[in-house]
Amino acid sequence: MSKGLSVAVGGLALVIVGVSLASVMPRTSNQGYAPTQPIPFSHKIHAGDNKIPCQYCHSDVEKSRHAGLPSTAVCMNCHKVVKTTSPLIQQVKKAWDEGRAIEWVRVHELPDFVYFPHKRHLAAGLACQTCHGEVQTMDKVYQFGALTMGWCMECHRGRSTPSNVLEGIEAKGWPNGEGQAAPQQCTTCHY
Amino acid sequence: MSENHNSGLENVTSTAGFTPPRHWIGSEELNASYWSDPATKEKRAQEFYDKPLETIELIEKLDTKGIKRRDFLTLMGASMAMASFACARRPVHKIIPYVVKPEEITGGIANYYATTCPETVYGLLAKVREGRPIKLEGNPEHAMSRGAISARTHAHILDLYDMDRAKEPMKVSRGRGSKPITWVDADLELVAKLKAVASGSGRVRILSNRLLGDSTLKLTNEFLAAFAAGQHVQLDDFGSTDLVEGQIESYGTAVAPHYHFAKADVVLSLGADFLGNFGSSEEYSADWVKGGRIPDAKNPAAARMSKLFTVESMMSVTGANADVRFPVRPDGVLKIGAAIAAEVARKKGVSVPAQFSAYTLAAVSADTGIEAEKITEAAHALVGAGAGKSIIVAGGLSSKTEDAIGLQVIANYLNSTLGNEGVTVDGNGQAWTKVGDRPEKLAKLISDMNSGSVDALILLDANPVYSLPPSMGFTAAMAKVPTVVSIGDREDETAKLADFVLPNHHFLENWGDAQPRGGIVSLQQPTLAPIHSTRAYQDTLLTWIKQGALKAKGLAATVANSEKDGTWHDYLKANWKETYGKGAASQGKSASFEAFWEDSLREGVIKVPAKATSARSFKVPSLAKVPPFKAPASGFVLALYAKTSMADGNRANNPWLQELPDPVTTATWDNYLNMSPKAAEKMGLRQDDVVTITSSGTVIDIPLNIQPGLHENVVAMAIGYGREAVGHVGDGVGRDVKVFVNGSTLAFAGIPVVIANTGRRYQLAVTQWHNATENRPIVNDITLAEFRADPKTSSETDPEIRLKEVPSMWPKHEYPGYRWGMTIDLNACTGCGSCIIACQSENNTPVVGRDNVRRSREMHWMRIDRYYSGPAENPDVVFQPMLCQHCENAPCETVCPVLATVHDNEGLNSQIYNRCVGTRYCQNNCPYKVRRFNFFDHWKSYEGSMNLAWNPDVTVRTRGIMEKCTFCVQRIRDSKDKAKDEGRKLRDLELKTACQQTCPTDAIIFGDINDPKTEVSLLRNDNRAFRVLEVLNTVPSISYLSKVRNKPGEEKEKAGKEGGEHHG
Repeated sequence: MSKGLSVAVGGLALVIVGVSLASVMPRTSNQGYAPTQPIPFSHKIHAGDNKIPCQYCHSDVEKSRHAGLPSTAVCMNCHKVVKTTSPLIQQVKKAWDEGRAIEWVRVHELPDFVYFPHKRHLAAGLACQTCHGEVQTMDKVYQFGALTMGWCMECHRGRSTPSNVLEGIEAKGWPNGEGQAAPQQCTTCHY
Repeated sequence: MSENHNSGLENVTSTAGFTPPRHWIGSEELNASYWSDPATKEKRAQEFYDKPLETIELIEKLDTKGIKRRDFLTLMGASMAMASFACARRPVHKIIPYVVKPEEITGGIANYYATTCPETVYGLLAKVREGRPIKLEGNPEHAMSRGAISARTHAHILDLYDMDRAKEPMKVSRGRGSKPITWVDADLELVAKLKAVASGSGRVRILSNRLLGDSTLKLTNEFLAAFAAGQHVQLDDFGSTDLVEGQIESYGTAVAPHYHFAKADVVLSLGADFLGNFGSSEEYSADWVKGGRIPDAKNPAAARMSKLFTVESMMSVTGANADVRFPVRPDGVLKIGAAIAAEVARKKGVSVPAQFSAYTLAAVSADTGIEAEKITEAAHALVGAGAGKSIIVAGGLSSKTEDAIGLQVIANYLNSTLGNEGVTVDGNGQAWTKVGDRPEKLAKLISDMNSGSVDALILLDANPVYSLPPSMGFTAAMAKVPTVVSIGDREDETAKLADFVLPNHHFLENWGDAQPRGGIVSLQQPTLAPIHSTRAYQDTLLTWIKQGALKAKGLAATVANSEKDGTWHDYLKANWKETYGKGAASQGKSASFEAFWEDSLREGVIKVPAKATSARSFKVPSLAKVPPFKAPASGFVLALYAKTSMADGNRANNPWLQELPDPVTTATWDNYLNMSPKAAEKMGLRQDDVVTITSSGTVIDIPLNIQPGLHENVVAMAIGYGREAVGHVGDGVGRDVKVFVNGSTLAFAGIPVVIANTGRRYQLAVTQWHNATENRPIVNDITLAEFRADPKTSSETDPEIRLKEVPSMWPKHEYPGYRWGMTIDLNACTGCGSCIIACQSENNTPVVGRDNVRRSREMHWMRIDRYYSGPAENPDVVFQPMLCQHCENAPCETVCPVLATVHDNEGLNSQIYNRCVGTRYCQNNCPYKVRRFNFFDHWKSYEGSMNLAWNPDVTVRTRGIMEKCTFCVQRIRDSKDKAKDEGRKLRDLELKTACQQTCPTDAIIFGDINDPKTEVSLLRNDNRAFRVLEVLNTVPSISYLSKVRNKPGEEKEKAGKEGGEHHG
């Protein structure tokens, strides 16, 4: 076989392998992912029925990149007196008494090379539900947004940006003159 | 891209008409034969070396281990990839909240705690993320650090997470292994022993390094009071003992003076590397540079600069920064010093002391090879500066001959005669009062141990078996002590021969204070809970006092026997209440002690006025220590020295320090024998030849490094290597060279040696030839006279094109908001290397190991290029920090096939890791050679607990990814975030890159160049400003300021240069 032919055959084989791989490869998005949690915590009961503000538990969200997960102490603020007989609450109580942290399964996760600040998005006037869906109706939380880069850029380019956010930006203007909807530099999120 | 070369050296075919390059990297470049050798061209064109150029013997422990681990992980990775193929499902990640979240912690936001490094006594701010410290910075409030810390201090963060730290108490059987023991059992056994000693002869000795905190010292003494003959012995580092001895001789006080370099117009260093590792070198560097090294660009004709003369045997950082440098044999330092002293006396019209009479200009000049007029020039400069306007500083290992105290006395004589004493040399106001014990005390301890008159020896963070020259016989003496307890961070050489190892806290886990010298009081507080089962030394003493009912004195007894078990924290607080409590109100802060304590913890320092300085009177009889003029030994003499990175080797297990290129030799990972090019040529030795060094029966083999600027008869080696029990990183790296030190004279320099070639080769991991460009003009260094005549003088770069706008084929980028830029002042940069480690810590840059450095794969984003100019016997040095230039027309951006490196609208040349596919085209096209490629998953070298040192704000890069300086984009984001919260633009200098933050001399200035009023914008238009390789029209965002040297006789030199001759 001549060298040229072998390269061509090899190339073709690679293409075939590539296409067939692509058809079986998982999508890069985990949209819809709804893992079972160690204790079946219901956001519907807490944020929906009882109207506890999101930030009562996710208290770092306005201050930091991370929204933060409530410490067991936050659970116990209420559950020292509320529903103390429920077997699920007793699981929380047991962990609390033992000083053991509850290991939740992470639902929303970005790759290590993405730096997403919750704080700036809240400051721009985004509601939690825009990205996380109607969490107050979810018994079991699932990943609502695609969390892919294209999904982020839709909003940053002003295509799916909520109107209150756009108005706010127009009214205020960004102090460093970044203009339009939201910054779209690579280094905005990747560093 | 080869137009505008200054030499066309690539095409040299014969020696006829050969002009060496003005700036050279190694002495071989000065020979025409180097350039005509075809291998040269090939080597210089090579970006990476496929394999080490020559693979050679000696120790390869770390590397082989690395490869094995790598193979294993590759297999693991492959099997994991297959597993995930089978059931395409995301890995399940846990998210674990606190049980009770500490009030002060907000996830993702760093807290800063003020503390103090007990080793260097610099005040620190520890950056703590979610309860773990990830970076150290200088405390701006601290009078010594002023925000800057050394490379060594930065690297402490890695020591904290060192995998080889002792993790629990161990019972050791004197060199025959060890086994874990509980604290309770260890205490039981030891308390019983101590009780027996206390009721008997009570000969307990505590041996520590010099302790700089009052509270620990006091506790130690109070503990020892329980024993009839308890004694505390403090070791000083060998580079400083003579300094103190000299002070005792000349002034009668056991202090190390503090030097006010900012006030000195002329500095004469007699062997002391005050910009490298002598005293508080960061503080000295800052004072020296800011006090008179930056010529006034606004009024160049009248610009003034201070002047630095250095006399030394091994080229040090200070020598590299000197305006005039005298390379001499170790004994020549004293001889030149004496000749200058005699000349100064003559010039001042005082009678020349008889001890100097033999040191005539003619004799010293003939002996040292330094021209007489240069010696008189130095003397006249010192006198000409006026009273109290100069500093003579002497010391350091490489001048520590048998007559080192004589050298100190000469320096003291000069300082007193020139009126510096009490003005620039502060021996009582701010002097270092905490100095080690005199050498006799150590000698007495060893002889006591030998004669069996020591009952128990407690070692505190001391490793005398390694750190003392073996000829002092400590090891044998220790074997005669019935009980030896090592309280330290690991089972080191000494601890292995002890009875117990009681692991001490790392200083970032412990309380403490430091009062190293007049006017400085700082606090040390823990920044995390102890990682391992360790216990503070101080708590150990308190426990023993209580459990053994030992009759300790004072506060120790009170605290230890208090109702609720008193801790070291209680002791420290009580001691502070006693010492500073009354003054609390006068601090103008808070009346109650609790509030004062809280304030002090927050600030890290308390302001205590230093006593006023006054001149001490020089004791003339001390001149008797000046030895009679001795003829030099024939043949080679050895000078030992301490590297700025490795120092005495106590932290040899720190990979950052091992891989930090030495500022002068640019070597990593090993020590070696430095020899002058001339001597090497005479002996037929080449770089990397393994040589045998013999001195009175002691023989070692060590590789050779050819080092310009050494006296022909001098060879020099660094101490701090050849550790045997420090851990998996440092064990077996280099050779322990203290074997050449005579235990009674303790001379570290001036040792006659014989050198022979072994015929073997060992490739040193030297970075100097890495990233070499094709001899393009990239650095400017000019003399003060040239600066005065025209501050825009270029020594090398093309003046026609400097800072000019050149038409470009690319459309201009738009910068609507900020545009980031940097200036680096080559006059301020001393080459210390602190920025390299600060960058490494901030940006998660991995270490790659010796073998990868040999292949030019080191990952430092910031490197410091060192160029020589002038003759190889005594070259001038210029240091040029080199990092990504963030070019406007970046050559890397145009060649990336996947747009992984792009320009952003703030002028950053951004590298997007997730897009990068690793073609390395960008690296190939970068004229500055600042891009770094991850050939392997280098991050895996951070094993186990070392993972905790990563900065969570920066992506950890994997194999196959290109990376480079980002201008600390995470810091930019963070600062902009704060400014946005307040609805304003960033203020100038509010945002600092990691390298800028730690630069003691403020050589690096970063800011917005869109705003013409910022510091960086002003400096960009400075008369000295130039950009590297402007001829390529890359338009870098970094500009450099030319190096200006204050050379005497510069007019002559300038004439020579115009005549087409090479300067020198």
